[in-house]
Amino acid sequence: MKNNKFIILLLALITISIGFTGCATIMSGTTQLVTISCNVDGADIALDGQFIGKTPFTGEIDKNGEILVVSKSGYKPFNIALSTSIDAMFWGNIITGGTLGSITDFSSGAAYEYSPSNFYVELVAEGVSLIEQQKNFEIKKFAMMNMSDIAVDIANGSGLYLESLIHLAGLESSENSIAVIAEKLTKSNGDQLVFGKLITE
Amino acid sequence: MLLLGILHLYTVDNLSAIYAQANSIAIEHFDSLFTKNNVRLDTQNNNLYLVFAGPYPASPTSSFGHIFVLAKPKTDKPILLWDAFDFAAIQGSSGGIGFFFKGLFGGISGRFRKQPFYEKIREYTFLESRNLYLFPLRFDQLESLSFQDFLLDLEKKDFDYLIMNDNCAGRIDSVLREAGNRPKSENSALVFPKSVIEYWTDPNDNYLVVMNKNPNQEDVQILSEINKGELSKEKLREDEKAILLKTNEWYFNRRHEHLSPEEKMFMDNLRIEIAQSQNSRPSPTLEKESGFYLHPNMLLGCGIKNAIRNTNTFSVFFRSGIHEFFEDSKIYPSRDFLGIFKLEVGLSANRMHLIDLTIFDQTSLTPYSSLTGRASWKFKAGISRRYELTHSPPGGGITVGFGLTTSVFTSEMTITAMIRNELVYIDNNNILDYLGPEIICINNFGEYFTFSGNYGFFRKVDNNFNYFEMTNSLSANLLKNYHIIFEQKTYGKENILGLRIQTYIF
Repeated sequence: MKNNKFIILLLALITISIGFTGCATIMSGTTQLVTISCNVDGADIALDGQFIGKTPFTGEIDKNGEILVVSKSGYKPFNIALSTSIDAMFWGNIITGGTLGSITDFSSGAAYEYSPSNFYVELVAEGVSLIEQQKNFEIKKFAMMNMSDIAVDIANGSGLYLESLIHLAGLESSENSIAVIAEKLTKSNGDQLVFGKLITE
Repeated sequence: MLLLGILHLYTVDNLSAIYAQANSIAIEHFDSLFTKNNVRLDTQNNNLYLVFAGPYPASPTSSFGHIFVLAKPKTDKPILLWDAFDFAAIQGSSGGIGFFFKGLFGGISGRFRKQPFYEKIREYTFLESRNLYLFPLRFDQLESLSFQDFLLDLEKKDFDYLIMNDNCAGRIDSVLREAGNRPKSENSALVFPKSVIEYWTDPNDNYLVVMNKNPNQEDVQILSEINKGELSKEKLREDEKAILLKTNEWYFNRRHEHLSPEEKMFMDNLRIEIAQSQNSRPSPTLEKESGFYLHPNMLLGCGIKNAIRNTNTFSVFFRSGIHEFFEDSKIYPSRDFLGIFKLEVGLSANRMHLIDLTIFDQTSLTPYSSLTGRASWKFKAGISRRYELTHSPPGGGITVGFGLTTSVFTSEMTITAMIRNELVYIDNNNILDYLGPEIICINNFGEYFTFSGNYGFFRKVDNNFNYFEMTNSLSANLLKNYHIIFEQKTYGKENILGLRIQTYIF
C-alpha cells in the first residue's frame, strides 16, 4: 500500500509539473539560433552586458536574455528589449518552451524581425537625426517584411503590396516603376536583406 | 484547488465574451480567395475603424477577442500603410502562468502603440491565425483627429493593464470617449470588446480583411509533399507556386525558428520564379463579408440523462468557452476546444447533485505532419462525479494528456492517440490515479453534424483495477446558435444515455 501511495504521489507531481510548467527546457532547449544584421558591419552586440559577437551575427543566444545592445563608435547605441513570445501560443508555448519573440524599441534607431529569428537593426550616426533616416528605414522594412507578397504582385502587374511599396518609395504609379522594382527583386536573388538595401538605393 | 476554482470563477465572471463566427470565411482554401470578386473598402466617408481580431483559442488571455483602431490618413495612402493604434500588455520576462495571473490581479503594464497596418496583419496571420474585421466608427473628421491627437500624447507611456477592464477594449473606449466628447463610462469591473464595438459602431456594417490568409490542410499537404520529395516544385502551376510560397512563409513564421540554408535558398528561388512569371494569382485584398456576425460565447444547455441500471436525471449546464470542435473543424493547424468554466447540475425528483464543475478544460489536436511535428495535448482541472447519476462522491482532479493526431483519410476527420493521466482526489483515503491510452476521434459531416468519440482503457494505479471508458456523441448544429447533442457514455459498468440542447447566450 505504501508503494502505491508513493507511485500516486510521484504521478501527481509529474502531472502537476507537466500541467503547469510544461517541461519547456526538456522539449526545446534554452537557446535559440538568431541572425542579427545591421546597416553597419562590425558593430558590437552584447546580451545582458555580455559581448556575444559583431554584426552580421549568426549564433545561439539565451532565450531568457532581456536586453540586446548593438553599438559602434560614431553611432548611437541601440537597445532592444527581448521578450519571450508567450502571446502567440501561451499554453502551447509553455509546453514547447516558447521562442524568442517580440522586440521593443527602447531608444533611438529601430529594429524589426523580417524573417523568423532574423533581426535587422538600423543604427543612426551621431549627429544625424532619426527623422532623416526614417523614410529609408520605413521603405526598407516594408520591402523586407513583405517581399513574398511583392513578388506575387509583380507577377500580376498590380496589388496592394506593390502599390504600397511604390507609394512609400515616392515612385509614380506606372509600369516603369513596377519594372524597376522587379529588376531589383531579381538582382537580389530573392534575399530579403539584399532586396531591402537595393530598394532604398 | 478551491482557491484555483474561486480564481477562475472570478475570471470568468469578468472576462468579456465575443466570438466572431465566420466559418464560411475561415475555412476557405487558398484557391477560393482568388476566385472571388475582391471589393475595395469604401473608405471615403470613414476616417476611423475599430478592428476586431477574432478570438484565439490557444491563449486564454486573448480568448475573447482584441480590438484596435485603424486610422485613415488625409493623404491617399494604401490601406496597408494606415496607422493602427493598439493598447497591449507588455510581456516583459513573465512566464505564461505569471503573465496570466498578473493580468488578473495587477502587476503588468500596457502601452499604446502605433504601427503600420501591415505589421498587425502579419502578427495576426503568422502568429495567431486570426482574421481581422473592420467596423467603421461613427466619428466625424474633427473627432477622428482629436482621437489621434490623444493617442499620440499617450504613446510610449505605460499604463496599468488588467485583463478584465483596463484591457485593450477598456483603454481604447476611454480614449474614444474623450475624443468623441461622450460621457465617461461607469467604473465597470469588466469591459467587453463586444460591448465597445456595439457602442461605437454598427456591427452589421463591417468588412473582413482576408490578406495573408492562413493555409488549410490541403495547402500544407502540398508543402509537405514538396519537402518529402514526393512532389516536384517544377510540376506546379504558377498559381500553385504562389500558394506554396505563402504557405511556406506562414509555416516558417509560425514555427518561428531560423531557416536552414536549404530552406532559405528554396524560398529565395521561389520568390524569383514567381516574380518572373506572369498571371500568377493576385494577392487577396479586402472583401466585404455579409455572413459575419458577433456571436456570444457562453453556452447554456439542458437535457435528460438515463442510466441503464439506474435513474433518470434532468441536467442543466452552463459553460463559458469559445470553441467547440464542431465550430472550426477546417481551420489549420489546430482543432481546439477551450472551456474556461462549466457547471453541470443534475436534478431528479428528490435531490439536486453536482455532476461537473470544470474550472479549465482545453484540448488542442493538431494533425501531426512532417511540418507541424507538434504534439496534441489536453489539460483539465475541476470536480466531477464519475458515476453521474448515483450517490458516488465527486472527485477533484487534474487531467493531462499528450499524443499525436492524424488526419489521413479526409481533412474532416482526425484521430488522436493519447496517453492520459488523471489524478483524482475524493478524500484522504481515496486518491486515485488513472493512467492509460485514449483514442479521440472527431469527424465532421458537412456543416451540420459532428461525431466525437473518446475511448480509453484505464488502470487505477492504487489498486490495480482496470476499466474501460467510452464516450460517443453526435451533434446536430441547428441554425447558428443551437445544437442538439446525443451522447452515450460508459464508465466501467455504468452506461448513460443523454440528449441535450444547448445555445449561446450573452
